[in-house]
Amino acid sequence: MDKESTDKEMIVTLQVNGLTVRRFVPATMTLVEYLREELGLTGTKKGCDVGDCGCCTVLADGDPVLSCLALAVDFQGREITTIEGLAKGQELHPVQRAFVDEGGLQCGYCTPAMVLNAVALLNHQANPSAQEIKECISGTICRCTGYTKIEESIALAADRQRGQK
Amino acid sequence: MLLENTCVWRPQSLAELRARLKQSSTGTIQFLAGGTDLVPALKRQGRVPELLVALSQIRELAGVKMSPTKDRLLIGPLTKLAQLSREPLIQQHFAVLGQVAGLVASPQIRNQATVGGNIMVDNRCKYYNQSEVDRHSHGGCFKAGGAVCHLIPNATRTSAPVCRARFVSDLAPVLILAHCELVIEGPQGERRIALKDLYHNEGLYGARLNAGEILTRLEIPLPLVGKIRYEKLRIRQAIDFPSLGVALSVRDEGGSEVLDVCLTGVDTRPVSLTFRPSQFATRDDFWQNVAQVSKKSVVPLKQDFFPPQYKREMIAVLLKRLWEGN
Ligand SMILES: Cc1cc2nc3c(=O)[nH]c(=O)nc-3n(C[C@H](O)[C@H](O)[C@H](O)COP(=O)(O)OP(=O)(O)OC[C@H]3O[C@@H](n4cnc5c(N)ncnc54)[C@H](O)[C@@H]3O)c2cc1C
Ligand code: SF4
Repeated sequence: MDKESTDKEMIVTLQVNGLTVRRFVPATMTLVEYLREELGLTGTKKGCDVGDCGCCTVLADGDPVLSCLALAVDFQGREITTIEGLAKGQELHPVQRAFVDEGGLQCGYCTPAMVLNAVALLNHQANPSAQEIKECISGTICRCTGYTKIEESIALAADRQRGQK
Repeated sequence: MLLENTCVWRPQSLAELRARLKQSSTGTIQFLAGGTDLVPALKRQGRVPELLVALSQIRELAGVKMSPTKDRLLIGPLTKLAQLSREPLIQQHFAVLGQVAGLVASPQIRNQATVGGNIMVDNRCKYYNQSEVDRHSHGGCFKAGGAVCHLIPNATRTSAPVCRARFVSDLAPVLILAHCELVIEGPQGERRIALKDLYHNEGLYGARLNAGEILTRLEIPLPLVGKIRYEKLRIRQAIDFPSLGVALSVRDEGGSEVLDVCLTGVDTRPVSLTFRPSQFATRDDFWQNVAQVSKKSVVPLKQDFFPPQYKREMIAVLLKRLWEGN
């Protein structure tokens, strides 16, 4: 067992939004802390910090996970997508565009998580049912919209992705 | 979460882990699987180990396969709950387990949480699973290392520490009815234990293994003895722990139906009950008996949103729903 592999500080190398990043950080640093404090990617929100609110959702190899519940070091070598990784320059991701067009947000705090949940869903399911849309955002709490607008935004993104709107 | 005195180690294989566990100088160890139960606890509950062993790299501990003799389902404890629901062998031989995995927490958490972590999940109480500030405001209880229980009023500072924090795993009752056996490895070698014998009648710790012991496999004898079903009572269907979970297995005994029941959420450990409806003259008599037995067998306390009496009554309601399908 080498020194680097069991210590209070560790080198953590991740693929974040397509770039390889490498930082020497405390071994018990959570993924949300790594993203926000080491990389300055503050789009990922630190809400309740215990897995209830879902606002710290990021994609790990395409699957939504809660970055407050995991150590950064446990994602060594994996592909992490945050909200900052979706747009191409000035061009919003189609799901982001749909949220803007449909008014699927108010204060915006949960929006990065909602959008990432929807991106993951639409990657697996081009024509999601209303139930699948509800299910995909069921682990993220929104305190302002009442969810309807968010669901409509995701449905619009799905329709557009299939070329129907 | 910056734990100043905790080291993290990520072994690559079971062999590497075994070699290290044999050394006596490891200090206090805790295994980290998905982290969805442990990480909030480390942030808030303050029982901090010297060494956190993150298991995520140990491939041998993940996945589902059939035993060479084809009569046991072998489940790696590191199998993610989302994976369990999709797993063809589970769908074919133990579909209800995949369905119940889909009732745990939220979609994101199910992408991280593991089967092993689920059956080892810590017991919960409204006075304990709170922020540091909240717990500080009314003083730490036995489970938080203090000298009082806020739930049992007559516990005093000189009482033996009796904690009634409740058992909350959704998978355990279903696995117990399937006669699940665990394979556990430790410094002393390998041992086997029936899952039902893993739990103790106290809430200070949920399931507790001996120091340095790790769960390496769950084994389910096939075919399952009875038809297993599960119902869960909770306020927020999208995310909450079970306030009450009822698992039912119906089997045949000399031409009569026997109902094996296992409950979660209402006591310090899973509670197993058996009912023989054919011993009662009418269905009404039978349901009265279920209500009486439920009243005697579990002691739910005011630990979550539902009043204890309501939870007791809901045992028969959920059981009826499961058995009669209404
Ligand atoms: C918001 C929220 C909602 C939740 N809702 C539910 C729910 O509805 N139902 C439910 O059952 N749970 C729920 N949970 C709890 C938890 O997510 C699950 O129980 C999960 O399956 C735990 O698995 P894990 O891999 O994350 O465990 P971890 O947090 O990694 O570990 C839990 C415990 O198991 C031990 N452990 C893990 N693997 C091993 C092993 N192989 N050998 C020895 N010890 C081991 C750890 O040391 C630790 O003590 C919820 C959690 C949150 C945050
Ligand atoms: S039951 Fe346990 S966790 Fe709850 S207040 Fe009493 S000692 Fe604390």
